[in-house]
Amino acid sequence: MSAHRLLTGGLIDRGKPLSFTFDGRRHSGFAGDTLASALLADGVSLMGRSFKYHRPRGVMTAGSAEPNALVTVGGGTRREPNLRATMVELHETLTAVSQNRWPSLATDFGALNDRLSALLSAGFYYKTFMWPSAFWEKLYEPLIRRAAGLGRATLKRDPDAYEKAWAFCDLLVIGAGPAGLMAALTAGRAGLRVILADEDFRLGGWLLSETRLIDGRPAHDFAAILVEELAALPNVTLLPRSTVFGWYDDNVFGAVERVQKHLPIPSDKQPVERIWRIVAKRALMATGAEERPLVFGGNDRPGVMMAGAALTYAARYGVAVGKRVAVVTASDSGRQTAAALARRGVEVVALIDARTASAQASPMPEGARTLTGAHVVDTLGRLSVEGLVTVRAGFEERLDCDAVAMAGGWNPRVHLACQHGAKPVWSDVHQAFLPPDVGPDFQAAGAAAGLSTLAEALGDGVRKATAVVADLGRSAPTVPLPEIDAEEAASGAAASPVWLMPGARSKAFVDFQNDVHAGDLALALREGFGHAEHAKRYTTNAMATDQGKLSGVNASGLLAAMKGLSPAEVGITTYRPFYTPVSFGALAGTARDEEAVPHRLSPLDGWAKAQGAMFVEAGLWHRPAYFPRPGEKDWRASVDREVRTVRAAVGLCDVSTLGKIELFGPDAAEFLNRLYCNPMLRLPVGKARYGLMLREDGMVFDDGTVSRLGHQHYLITTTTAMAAKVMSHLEHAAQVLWPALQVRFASVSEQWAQMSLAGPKARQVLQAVVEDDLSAEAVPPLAAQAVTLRGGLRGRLFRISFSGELAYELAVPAGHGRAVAEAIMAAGRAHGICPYGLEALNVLRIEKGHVTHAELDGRTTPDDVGLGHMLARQKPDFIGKRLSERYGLTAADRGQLVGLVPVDRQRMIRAGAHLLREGAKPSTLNDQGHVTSACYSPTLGHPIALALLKSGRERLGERVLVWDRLHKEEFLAEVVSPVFVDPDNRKIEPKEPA
Amino acid sequence: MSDLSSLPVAFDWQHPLSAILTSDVRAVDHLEILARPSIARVIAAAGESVAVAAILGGMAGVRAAGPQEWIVLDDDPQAALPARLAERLGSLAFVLDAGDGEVCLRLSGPHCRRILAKGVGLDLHPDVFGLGDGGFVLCHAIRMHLSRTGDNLFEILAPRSYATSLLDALKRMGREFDLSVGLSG
Repeated sequence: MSAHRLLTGGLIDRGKPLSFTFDGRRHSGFAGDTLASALLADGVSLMGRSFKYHRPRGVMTAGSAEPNALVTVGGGTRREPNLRATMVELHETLTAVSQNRWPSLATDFGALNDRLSALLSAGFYYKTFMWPSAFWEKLYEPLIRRAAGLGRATLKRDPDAYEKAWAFCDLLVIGAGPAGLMAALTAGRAGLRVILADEDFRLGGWLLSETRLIDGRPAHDFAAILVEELAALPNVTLLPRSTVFGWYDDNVFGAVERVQKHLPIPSDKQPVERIWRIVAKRALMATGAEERPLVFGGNDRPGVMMAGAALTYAARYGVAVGKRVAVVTASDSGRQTAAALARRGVEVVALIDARTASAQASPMPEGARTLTGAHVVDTLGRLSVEGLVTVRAGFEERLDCDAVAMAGGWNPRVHLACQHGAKPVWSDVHQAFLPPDVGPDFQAAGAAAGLSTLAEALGDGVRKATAVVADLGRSAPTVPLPEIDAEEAASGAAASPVWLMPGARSKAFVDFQNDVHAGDLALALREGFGHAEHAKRYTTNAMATDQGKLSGVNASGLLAAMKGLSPAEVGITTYRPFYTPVSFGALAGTARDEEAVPHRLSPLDGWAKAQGAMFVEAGLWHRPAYFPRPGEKDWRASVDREVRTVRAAVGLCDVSTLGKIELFGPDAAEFLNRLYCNPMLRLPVGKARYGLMLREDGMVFDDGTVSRLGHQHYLITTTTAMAAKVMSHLEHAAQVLWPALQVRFASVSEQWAQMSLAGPKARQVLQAVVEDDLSAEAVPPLAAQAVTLRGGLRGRLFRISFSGELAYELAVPAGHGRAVAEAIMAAGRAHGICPYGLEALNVLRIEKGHVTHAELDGRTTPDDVGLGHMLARQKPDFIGKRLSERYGLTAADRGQLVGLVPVDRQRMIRAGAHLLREGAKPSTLNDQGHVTSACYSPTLGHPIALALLKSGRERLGERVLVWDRLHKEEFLAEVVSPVFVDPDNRKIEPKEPA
Repeated sequence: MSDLSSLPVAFDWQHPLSAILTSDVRAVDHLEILARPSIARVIAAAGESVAVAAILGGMAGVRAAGPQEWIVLDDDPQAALPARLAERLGSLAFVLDAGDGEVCLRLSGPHCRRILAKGVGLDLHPDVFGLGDGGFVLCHAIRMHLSRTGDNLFEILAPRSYATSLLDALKRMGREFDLSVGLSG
């Protein structure tokens, strides 16, 4: 048996020994242990080093508030830093190492900081590292971070899976202690959908540490019976190992479940952690209370811990935290704990009670001295406590002990209830901050509500749950309250807390993790940072990963005492999510790598892949960028070839990603006429028209085509990027702007595969696949009609061109898309057809001076981009009409679309470059416009660009300076027409058969 | 000249998930991918929603899809549902073929609610989301139509372009329960 393991007792499985290592040294424990309990059982009290002074530290608590015993667990890709040893479930082969020390935990050079502590008081870095300011980022901050830190995260890829899930319930009970279990049982028996969440791996809360009998059986057995019944109820969900970390709007709670963190090797079928988003009609905060540390000299020495923790280690884990334990208290609970420790076989050598009289005279263990009205002024020892120095009425006395249990009273765990901004409320009766009243949907129960006895907590759980049951319209069964052996009497008004034991001869710590001591708070007050929030930031009190669970209330109490005020007047700092740290993995869930966002595949995706496409992500879409062929050295070679092929022969491009919306109804024409700035009322059936939509402010919103398929039946297309926004725009117009218009519409983007066949030989190729007559007479430019493909497949054909070539867009039901594309390729093989991608499409449209959202960037008007003639001002109204007449939008010096050709034909123009007058000093003050799109034109054999240039249309022939500061480029370009190829549109309908 | 002899006389139809690996054994929790259902979207003409609802009320496979809109589904690809509905509804409604634009999946088994809870922020308890209930929901940022068609049976309709991503997501969601995947037909 290990040094401190008690011979009997505890909820560990002594039949399942587990082997683990800490700092490379082998230890053993049992199933049911935490890392902290197993180390304590093996006599290890030194578990960490403090953040700033690198002071030796041991475990303070037995739960999630632990500030000191932070360790790194695991290795390789599963190395995880800053875990609280008190929350790490022991498993076979667990490896843990201490942090923030060098070269070893026992001998840490960083402890030099402690020697220099006079120079490192609170706020020292605000004062010391003021100058030279350039040193802060490069020297001071890296040095400080290196000297004071936590564990190091691995930079390797996390091999484990995480996920998020939703849960819904009538009642969420947070905390499975006495109040929580009884509440869950009451609501569960009433048939409510109940979720009971607890951060511990074993449900029971304080009942697992309780030494008295309940209904004649051990308290943990009583808890086990309740848990067993709850587990059997189909309407109750138990979530052990689940920390409810946040309370959000609409009574949604966030919880993180450590699904497999306790297993040596996690299964790949489950996540290691899971975030729950719990939507609760009602919630009960049965989170218990945190024991308050006492602030006295040397209170941070390893071996000094919370009295309740000492009892938990004895009762739950069968571990005596010391062979000679001294209990220091300022409350009745310390006396009770001392008695309970003794009942568990822990030797208590002394009870030091700061009060001169106790309200309750708990029987003291045999052999234990009681020192009332005494204060601890220091502790003895180096790496672990070896004794205490007490002073009583001026009489100093040294007491030998190897562990100190301190009991400063209890702080209800109110954090969750305060996360919406409500502040905890100081109670003079309870001498503690109680949860605020945040309404009936979320209430506190048990110790979290300030109740101090076990009987009160059990009864409160039943009472609060019964009220919830009734509130939700059900009737609750009677849940009898159990009888508690030797229940303590409620002590009534709590004694005044002792915020600081006077006469401290060494640092009396308030925040253990961030090394904030009482003197730091006094300094903050002296320097004008006495407000609770200011003091927090000045001293870093409650800013560590434990978020001040032990230190927050003490800091408030100390500041109040220093000011001569009540804690009610000082208040306490703000509580926000997360209650305890949550891993980045859990927060990301499944949203990582390629799964971070969904991707969309075109119906022609398989065809493009078979053609060897290289893809580019365009929003969520994966679109073919280009189709390389053997021997082509780079993407430009492929794109140039594709463009030349389209200009000379024929090419096939997937345009399925365009948004497509069908509209119906007697008012569809009027609806479209108001949506677009150009006329739509008289569009004939069977014809398509280019359309331009404006925003209300007169700027271009989106462009596309409008096709009239029937008298009351239209199809509009949108750009790929704006498909969803245009649909929303239509919904807004129909529902809000013109609800009287009889028009209905639906997106059909997914239903159709659409491909553009462009080039002088397009007609010949397409005719091989389509049965209808495709002659210029039958299908003239801007025709839009139904067609029949070979075998009877019905499709839609549009005679529209983005490339300036003879071109068709053929739409077929998506499932047939690949087969049709393959047939077109087969039919075009003899004509030299090639597939072309997004890059070639872009080059073709720049050569032709067509705009996309590179030009329609939300800041341009139709006139800016050369489409001012489309504005049908004679229409009574259309979206954007009124504001498009603003002076600012019609000013002559607005940027206007022009073409650019570099004077040096070898210079590539880059999109985004600024334009300046020739000879002007490169500066944005001299800005004349910018390049919107640029490419190499294989048709012309040199680079070209589109740009928005002030009064650009009047400046054709002028030379401007192209200035790209990012790439340190300046060169001249000539302003030309934006239409570089076929300005007379002769290629749309070749005169001679190709 | 084009080599017309090599061209197909009919164009094959391809399901967007036809290339996926299906499970060897059907597990208790199973995701069935319908091979080629007939799907139609019905949008009532102005003022005709009551009449349309009355007609659709007598049909199987009708799912509510928003104000005055429905999705109608038939497992049989030969059902020619859009044409039949268009004929039956006449001027009361506009009918669109959605058979190529949507994929239909059916999730069944004792854990189907727990599987869906990993992606759908909707209370699917039968007291809340009962038999026949349905609506558009988000699942891992993918908009889909979800309806309960049995005690432990849910039907999912999702846009074709998202099919691969949605299937990947559902497989991840079901991994804990050994969810199997199969293509029907």
